[in-house]
Amino acid sequence: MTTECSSTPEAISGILLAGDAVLNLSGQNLNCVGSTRFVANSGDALGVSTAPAQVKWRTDYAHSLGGVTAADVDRVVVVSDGDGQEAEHALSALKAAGIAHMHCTLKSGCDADAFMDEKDAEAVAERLRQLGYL
Amino acid sequence: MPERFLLGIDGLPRWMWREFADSGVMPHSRQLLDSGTLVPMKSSLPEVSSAAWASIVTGENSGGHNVYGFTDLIDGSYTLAFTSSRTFRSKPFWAREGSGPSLIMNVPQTYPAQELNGMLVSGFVALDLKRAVQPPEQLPWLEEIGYSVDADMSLIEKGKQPFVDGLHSVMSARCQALHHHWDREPWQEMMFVFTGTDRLNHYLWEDYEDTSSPFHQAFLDYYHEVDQQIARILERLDDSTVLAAVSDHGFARQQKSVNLNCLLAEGGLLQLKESARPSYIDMLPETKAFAMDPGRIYLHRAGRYPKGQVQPDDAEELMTSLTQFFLNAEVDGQKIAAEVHRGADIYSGPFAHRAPDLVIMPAENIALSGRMNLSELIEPTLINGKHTFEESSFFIRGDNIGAIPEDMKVEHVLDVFKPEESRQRKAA
Repeated sequence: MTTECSSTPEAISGILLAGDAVLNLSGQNLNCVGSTRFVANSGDALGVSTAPAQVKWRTDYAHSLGGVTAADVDRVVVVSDGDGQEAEHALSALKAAGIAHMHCTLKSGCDADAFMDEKDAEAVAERLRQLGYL
Repeated sequence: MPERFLLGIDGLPRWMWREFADSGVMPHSRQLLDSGTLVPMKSSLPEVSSAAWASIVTGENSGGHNVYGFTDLIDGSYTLAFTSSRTFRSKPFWAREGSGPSLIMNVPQTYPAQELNGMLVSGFVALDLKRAVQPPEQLPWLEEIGYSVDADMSLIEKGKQPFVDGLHSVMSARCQALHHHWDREPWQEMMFVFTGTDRLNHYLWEDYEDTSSPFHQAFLDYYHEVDQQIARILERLDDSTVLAAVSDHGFARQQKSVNLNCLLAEGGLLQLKESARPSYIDMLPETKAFAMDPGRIYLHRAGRYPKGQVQPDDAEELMTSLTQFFLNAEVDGQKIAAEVHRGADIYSGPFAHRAPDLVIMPAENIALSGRMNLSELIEPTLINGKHTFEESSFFIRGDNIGAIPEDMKVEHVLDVFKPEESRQRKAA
């Protein structure tokens, strides 16, 4: 069974471990630290690079994961925008190749629109203080 | 006649409802409870009304509906924000396609009022009646009767009697509004929540426990009035209506409020720069973890927070040491934590990535706060009753209801109350 998680592009490094390589199937740039490794196109095969990369999964990649296994990667983190077929095929291929992996679905963050209006903050804070929350 | 009626009684422990029903404090409840099934229910984690009511009305845990407490931080920042109806990322049952018309009144976490097929008057935390009513044309009548979106909690400073009188007054207006609007249209679904019970429990729990207290009877009298109002509702329903009655959490004695951020600071795990009014924005990069109400712990992770330096490879060890830190922590020789849960173990859903890393469950008699005021580990407060995770109430009667899970939780309410819709939602 594939481990599933969710994150935002900005916070993705919070779920990565030192031995991971990111297979970025999303159309989004990920906010990763400089040492993060990425699964990247290497001709008709896949390899591992330290340069940020996005991959458009092809069916024949299932037979060319040797570059990934050779790169001393502990785990491949498949990052996608949702549960599309691309992610499904990539995860199946990794499972068949016996490569440890995890699937991370990118979600939107919550900005100020998701909360009480800023002008109400003091009044809300006071109500919450009265009930011991603040 | 509505097809379904969901009654809320904020903070009423199952054992207390049964006790009051049997002892004569709530005589109509005895008849009600005997007509269906009453079971204990577990609240949300943490056991806070905002998250619990959100779970009750959406059928999700916080990882699904995105409400983790009354407070939150805007993503990628240290800006403290307050959750609202806009925070929901899963729709309440009345807002789903094909729903309604619904009359929804005083449900916590529904402010500002959102459009729906029906009518909604927001519950706590609500500030302005004008923004608490949908559709807006229903506002004038509510204003005329002096409807209050919130009880005046400052009355407790004048004494317990004025405070309780205020709770009675607010309940009276709310019930008047319920029956008035009930008369206007043939609602398909209805939800009405008594919230004064939570306020009473917070400030007069010691008077409930002390039968010699001059306010002991006032405590019982309030619940007697709640029961009278329940009777008025029951008189208008027949066996064709599926009726559920729930509370969002239980209640127990609170003797101390312990500030978790103060504890973290004393342990060197939270470091703030000097500030007249300390807030999350004052956290220094060296901070390892911080707390939010009530009992949520967040690692100061790199990538999640602008100045966060906790790396993924260090997170596991830090969570393990924090768990021990809190389980071992004592105040005045008393343990402050009963259990510590990992966020990854208790939350699931598309917004689980916004979850706290740890949730601390308080020990007996202890309440936990996430205030950023680090000057007092034990906070002075008039509050003497606290929420509990265990023993909220779930009652149901009617046909076409779902099976009650053995481990009933707030996120299961819709599975039992609206089983077909719940099945369809999960299959989608």
